[in-house]
Amino acid sequence: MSRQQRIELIRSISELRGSAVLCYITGDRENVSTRIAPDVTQVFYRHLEMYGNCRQIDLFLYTRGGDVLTPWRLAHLIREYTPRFNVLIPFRCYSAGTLLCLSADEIVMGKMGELGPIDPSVVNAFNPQDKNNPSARIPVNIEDVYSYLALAGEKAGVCSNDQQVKAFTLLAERIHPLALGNVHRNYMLIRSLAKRLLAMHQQPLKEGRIEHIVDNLTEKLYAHNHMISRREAAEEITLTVKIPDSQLEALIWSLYQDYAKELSLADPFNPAEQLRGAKSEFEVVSGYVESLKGADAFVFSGIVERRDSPDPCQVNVSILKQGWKTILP
Amino acid sequence: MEEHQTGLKSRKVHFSYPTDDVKYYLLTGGSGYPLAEFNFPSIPVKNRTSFVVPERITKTAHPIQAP
Repeated sequence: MSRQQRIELIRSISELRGSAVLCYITGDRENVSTRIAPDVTQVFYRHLEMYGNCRQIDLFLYTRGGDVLTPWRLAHLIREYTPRFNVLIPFRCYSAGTLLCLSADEIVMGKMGELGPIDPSVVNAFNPQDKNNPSARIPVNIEDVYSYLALAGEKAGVCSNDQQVKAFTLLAERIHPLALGNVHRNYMLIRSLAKRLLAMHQQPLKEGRIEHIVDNLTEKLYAHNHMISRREAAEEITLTVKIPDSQLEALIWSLYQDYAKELSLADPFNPAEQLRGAKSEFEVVSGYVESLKGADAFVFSGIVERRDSPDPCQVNVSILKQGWKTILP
Repeated sequence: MEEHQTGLKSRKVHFSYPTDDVKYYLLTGGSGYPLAEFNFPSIPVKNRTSFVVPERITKTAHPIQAP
């Protein structure tokens, strides 16, 4: 589908909803993924400035997650331009994506729409080394740490202070205390962010409902890869979910399919396929921010070259640049 | 109670659970999140703002095509 056809889909959604539509796709193509991160804030600003003040902004969002602080910044930025902010979820919208949804007045989820828990894994220089790859750090899931402590207390009968100290010492022997400090900070942070994002709604939610949503999304789903359907999101978690009519459902699914095809989400990026001769330059797009006003893409650019030593037919890939690029001002 | 001979012999059963391959990605402060096996001449990999992290990414299914 050409960009013009995709723009027609965005325009149709915009007319149907009476809103300014902004699309944000963080590609999950194998080998060249993108994630929600602070560098997108300026890209959002560019599009929002072009729209100006709006009655309603709908964010079309596909993501597996990313940085947990960025949704907070994006939510505030979007609210500078509109009193009413909604999200349109065609398919995956996990982790930091779900966090961003919490600030939305309405979460429009198609039949394939999926949210995820907001139980991030964190990594810093003190995280454990990966045995299979010493240059790698293993992210620690914050809820796993708290779950271990709960397990010790509830199932292993760790009650006395001494026993609690022993259980904690055992943990601190395996995970550096500063990594654990980072876990604790993020444990507090994610709950605080979730509550504050939910408090941004045009129609304020009651305090008990906010607690219920936050508890469910942080610790009561029990698996980081739990996929939350729209029914579960609405009925059990009590999020402000809206079911689209069949026309809107078809439009948002078509738009997702177009991005999936454009970004080749289903096919791993294979640098060897880029090789023409012994050395080739390449550019691969793995993210989009797009609106009726323009388009920005996240572009990886680099060089792929064949090396025949030490082993024959080796392919070396160098990423020379990566970043957001305006492709349609 | 009388025991009935079932005729079944005890056999060792092997289960095979396919697991996703672990891949290593380079996590930086920005949106880009490429495979760590690539070279990054302009990104200092060993500084504190970038980490190599293992990841099991569930394969993205081919999108459902309209009939």
